[in-house]
Amino acid sequence: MVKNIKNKFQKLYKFRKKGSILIVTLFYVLMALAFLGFSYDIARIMYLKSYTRNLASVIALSIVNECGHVYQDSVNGARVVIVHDVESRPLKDYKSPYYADKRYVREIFNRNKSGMDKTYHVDPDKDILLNPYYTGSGNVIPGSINKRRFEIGSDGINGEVEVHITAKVDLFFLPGRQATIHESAIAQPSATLTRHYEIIREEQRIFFEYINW
Amino acid sequence: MTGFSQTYLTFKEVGWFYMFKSLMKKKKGQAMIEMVCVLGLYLFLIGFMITGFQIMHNKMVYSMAAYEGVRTAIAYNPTTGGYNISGAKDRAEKILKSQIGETNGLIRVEIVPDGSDYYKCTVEADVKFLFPIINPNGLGAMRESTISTSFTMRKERP
Repeated sequence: MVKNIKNKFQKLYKFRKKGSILIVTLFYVLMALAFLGFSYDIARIMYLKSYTRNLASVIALSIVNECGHVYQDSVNGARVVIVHDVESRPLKDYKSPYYADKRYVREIFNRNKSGMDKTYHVDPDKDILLNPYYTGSGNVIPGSINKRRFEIGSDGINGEVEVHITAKVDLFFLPGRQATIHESAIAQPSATLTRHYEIIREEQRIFFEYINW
Repeated sequence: MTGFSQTYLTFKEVGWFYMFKSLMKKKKGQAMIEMVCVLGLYLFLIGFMITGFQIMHNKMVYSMAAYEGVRTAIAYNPTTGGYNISGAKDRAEKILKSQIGETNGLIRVEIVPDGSDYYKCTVEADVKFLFPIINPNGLGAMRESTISTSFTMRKERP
């Protein structure tokens, strides 16, 4: 039995010997094609990652420019808050019809839609987060929003906006499948000019906490 | 009456057949012939690789230039009391020049107001590739591909 199989294999091998270089080369070509397809998709993902980062930065800066409000804090001098809803709206001098929320994010996103790739998919209502909370392991909690950061950012004085975008990208060489991209950007303005003098709301006042040792 | 016609090979045709058969039996130069057969595929693969990465590199640089252009355009200059659009265009072109270098084709950089409060920067070029096999939106493009990226950003308030 084993001898019979061996004989058959030897016959087959002898039969296949002609053109073996061609077969081996074609095998390598197919392998190379698969690797190149894979690497082309990786290159596309790299490009779209850099695009997503730029888009996050565009949204963050646009929010700061549209919804940032400069005023004089009686304790800290000139500072900026990002107006994010009706309650956080200053008592006067805020003329923008927008707040730093989903509606304005959608507005900016739609204005930038013409520059996007056809294979790039983002739902501005679900996939773009502003100032989200983090889990203990450093992951973003979807749908959460830390409103305090609009008022006081990482410098302890000015408000800031952190934009997170989660995008889906169609893959050319694995049809029907998508890769997920996640990028973020932070914009924090600073006020150097004192233009507005107004009494601020109590909740917008900064309270420094000191620990007595 | 139905029947079949029998065709006979001429002496010349039989000669060609045997010559071809004897050539097939010869092993000298077999590797070279097989190499020539797969060379086309290899060239296709190399072209595919060069074109694909060339497209991605161009798109990445145009995206970067458009972002830098619009970022410079929206900055309000309190000294002049306005926005420096020509400076923003120069900034975008400087990035294109430093990242891609001198190109044969024209790269169009356009910064226009989008409504009263926004600026839009578009960087666009018709790029002719070394191996025009693919374009970013699908396979099979055989002519120049238009690569374009744009960003729109809110102006800084005066």
